[in-house]
Amino acid sequence: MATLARSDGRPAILVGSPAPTPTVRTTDGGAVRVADLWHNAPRALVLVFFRHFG
Amino acid sequence: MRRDYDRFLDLGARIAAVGPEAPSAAAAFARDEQTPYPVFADPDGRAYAAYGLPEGGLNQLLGPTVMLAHLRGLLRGARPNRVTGNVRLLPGSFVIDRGGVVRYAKVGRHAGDIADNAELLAAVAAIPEPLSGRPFVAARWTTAT
Repeated sequence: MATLARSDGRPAILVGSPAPTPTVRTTDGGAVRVADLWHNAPRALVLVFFRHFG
Repeated sequence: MRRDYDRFLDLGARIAAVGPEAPSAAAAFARDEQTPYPVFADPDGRAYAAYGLPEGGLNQLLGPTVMLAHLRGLLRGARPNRVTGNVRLLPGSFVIDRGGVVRYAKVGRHAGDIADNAELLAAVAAIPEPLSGRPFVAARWTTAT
């Protein structure tokens, strides 16, 4: 995957690169691969990472 | 997100939200806020790391810009709740097409730096529509009990 090092040394996601597909947990504790989310979207997935739920 | 939710749907986008807390916190948030989109938990922060979302420094988490954004949220009706996850992680937003290619990426420069809906909508609109997409079947994203 194409990455670009940021100022803090961690890789950043580049537009045009393959999206990572980690596993996230459902509200009842199950596991879902992020790829399953974009595969089920008609056109695109908007993936939003919150700082917290509060 | 909620304000423009129908516009995202009309464009063929689906929204998924992730928070760095336990599934029970995600469930409470989805229930209390009546989110129209699914909410997921990433309690160990692996998804944040995979998407290059870092932990912020003191100024990125508590600086004046962050406080101003927080105040704006309160004025819009946001209700602060007890936070149980890693409060240092910065926010981020990504638009991913059905082929798994990143079409838009924003990593928050500070805790209050979130993507503008107009930017996200424009990123979705720039993706060519599928020529013969299969019908979307709404998934609840819960596991069978």
